[in-house]
Amino acid sequence: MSEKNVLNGDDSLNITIINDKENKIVCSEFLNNNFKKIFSGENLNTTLIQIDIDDVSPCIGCFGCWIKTPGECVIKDKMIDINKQIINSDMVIFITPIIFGQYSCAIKNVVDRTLSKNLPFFKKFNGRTGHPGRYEKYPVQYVIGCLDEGQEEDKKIFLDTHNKYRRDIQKVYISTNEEDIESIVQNIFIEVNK
Amino acid sequence: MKQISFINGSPRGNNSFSFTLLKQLETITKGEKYFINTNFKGKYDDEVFKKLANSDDIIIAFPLYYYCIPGILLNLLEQYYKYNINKKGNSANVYVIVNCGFPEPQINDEAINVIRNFSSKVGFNFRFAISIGSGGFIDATKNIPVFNKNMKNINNALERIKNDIYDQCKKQFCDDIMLEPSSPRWLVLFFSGRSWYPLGKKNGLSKKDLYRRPYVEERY
Repeated sequence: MSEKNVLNGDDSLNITIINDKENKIVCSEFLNNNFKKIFSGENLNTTLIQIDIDDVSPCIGCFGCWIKTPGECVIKDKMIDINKQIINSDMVIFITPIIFGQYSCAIKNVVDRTLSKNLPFFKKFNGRTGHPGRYEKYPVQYVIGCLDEGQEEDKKIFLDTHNKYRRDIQKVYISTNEEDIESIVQNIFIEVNK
Repeated sequence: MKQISFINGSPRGNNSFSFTLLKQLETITKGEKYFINTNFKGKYDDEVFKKLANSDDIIIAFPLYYYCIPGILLNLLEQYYKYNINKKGNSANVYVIVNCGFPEPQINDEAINVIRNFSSKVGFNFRFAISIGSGGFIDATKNIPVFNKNMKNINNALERIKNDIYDQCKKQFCDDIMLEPSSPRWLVLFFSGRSWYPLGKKNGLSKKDLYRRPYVEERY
């Protein structure tokens, strides 16, 4: 990755991985046990955040992060630290079960609550209206969606949503087993280091 | 008598546009009606799931959050899915009313597909959706006569749901109803863009304050 970690003033890369604790394809034990192996490498500062459904409450749609405390969510829970962690990362990887074609609700609550990193205004992006970013720079973001084999409709909706609208996501991967994750993450690192 | 369930998937509860539209539909339908507000703790009695399983018709209204359905609504649907495994409820007809802040209702398409997919997994019969663009704008201007046409279009679409509920020989397939604001696009964007400054001002914030960048002072 060309961008240096300005925060630490060195060449290290801050990576944040956000996973749903209830993810049955990539279970917490797997990530914890393989953490060092998968995310090994010099100059990698990796943080694994396991999200439980009760950790982050849902976005309440109050727009407080736009008109009361711009850039900061008004709900004071784990999400305050997560938003801070995300914006100060060089790379963020979301790992989520795919439920009916979208994120699991634990991860969806996290994503909804990152609304604060956008501005309230409208802007056209490739012919589609969206919200402009609040910051000059953002981490490179990847999403790994996990689902059982044969769930083609779930997969299609998940990919369509990201490909059409989530210009902030670099790439979306689909995984049907734990072994995939290791190679997906290696691919991400190769891509980033190009 | 028809059993009709109304699910309000907006975290803003009774203050939401979704609630307004569901209430409007509730007043024009007849039957045994059951209203479900999604809740932050995600705790629901079995009674809620029983009612859903026994419904003839289910109307799900929600705002678009991050290009998909809000976490609070997904939680309820996920719990129903788990409740429904190995059970066989009615094959309820499902209708969706979704609104997004963006002017293009097409941005709601994937969220509608999520409900369509959910319906097929739990044995419900998805009928069609009312897909509304500029929902926030239409809600905020609904009592201003010059913008009346927006609500009129929505009310006509709600009538379509009502008629479909009582239609004994339902068509095989029904297209979703896409509703763009009838007001000129520049006017919608002008109001939508400008409205944030006075809202911030009410909280003692200047225009510049709305652009704050917390958390990264050290970085930039």
